Amino acid sequence: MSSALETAQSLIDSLKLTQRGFLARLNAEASAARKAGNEALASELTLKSIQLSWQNLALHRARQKLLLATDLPALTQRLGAVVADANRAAADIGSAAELLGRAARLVELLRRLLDVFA
Amino acid sequence: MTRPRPHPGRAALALLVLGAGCAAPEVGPDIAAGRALLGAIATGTGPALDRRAAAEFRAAEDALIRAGQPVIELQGECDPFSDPPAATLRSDCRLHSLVPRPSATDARSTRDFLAMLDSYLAALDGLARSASVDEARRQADALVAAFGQPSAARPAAFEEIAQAVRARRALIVEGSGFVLDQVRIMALRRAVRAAAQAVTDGLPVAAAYLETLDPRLETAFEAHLRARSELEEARLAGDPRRYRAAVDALRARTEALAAAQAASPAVQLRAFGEVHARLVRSLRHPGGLPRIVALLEQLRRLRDAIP
Repeated sequence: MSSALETAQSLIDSLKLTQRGFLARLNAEASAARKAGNEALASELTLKSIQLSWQNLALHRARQKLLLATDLPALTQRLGAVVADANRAAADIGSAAELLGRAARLVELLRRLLDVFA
Repeated sequence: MTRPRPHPGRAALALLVLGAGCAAPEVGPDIAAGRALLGAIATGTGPALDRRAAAEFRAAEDALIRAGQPVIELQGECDPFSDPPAATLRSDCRLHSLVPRPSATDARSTRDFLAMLDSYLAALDGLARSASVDEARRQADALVAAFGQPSAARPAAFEEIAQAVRARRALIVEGSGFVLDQVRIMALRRAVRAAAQAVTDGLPVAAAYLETLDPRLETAFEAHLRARSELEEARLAGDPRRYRAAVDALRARTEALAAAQAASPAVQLRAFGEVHARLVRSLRHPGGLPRIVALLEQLRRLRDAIP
């Protein structure tokens, strides 16, 4: 992803984060106003919270568009290298066990030979 | 000559430090949870992703065709009458696509990324459950056993080695298992560390693409927001029938939003990200107590085996 896209994305992310905090506060204040019997304020705050959610949806859509510009195949390639390395390590461990087995068979053969000629 | 035994407290501390650094965390459940989530995503979105990938590929070919650019080329031997070698029964004639690899995200790259995530978890699973470490212990035991019982009839040089090996049986067997176990844990840590960034960066991208295939969550959210607005307006309007309908509508929309969230592949991918983050954390820090205890016992056997 280009640095311009990255900047735009992090800007949207920080906006969303701010909105999230603001939204939580609006909802809490609306609930408190309702409990206190101040219906007019509660209603106003609720409508503001809904308005903010619509803006948040627009921000979400913009962020999704930016994300789709990411070079996903490059990330897949990086994961592929990790998979190859992990599989190689598993195979190496298997080879070590096999090598020990071969050494055991070789020593057994050698000892039997010695026993025959003893 | 007798070697001085280390101070018990110091030895225990050394074992504890060594154990904490090398302990294999319990990663099996996280890997299994990740694979289950991926399976659910593949079942839910696989067919749609395949259809979209085919359509996008055809569109990319169409664009090349419109521009008069090459689209495919033949590779291999395509003339069956060109006297192929006797061993070759059929020619290896095949088509190679010249459609360039996309540099952004599309259906194919999303499908490939999800498939690679599954391969990644399978590789981790292979390392975490590798039976090779136990097999190495068995083979090391067989190696010691291969030297047989002491016999005066054999050459002294052989018996000298055999005696030394028999005397270190526990060290050889446990040492082989221990070393390979550490190789396994290190490989597991290395793999998760190396993949962490690509997984963290790729998951929201794949989620964003899957959302384009399945906009139900967005639609449900929009309907929910509209129902909330209507509830406030209906209440203020003082019309009981309208208010009643708005209450019922918001109840229904809230249920629909919850259902859409549960079914959303994007939400499932976020859950996958959480599981992976837990895996990264558990491999960064020492594992669970049972594993540390097991490792300490392993270390104790090793130390006791040293003559």
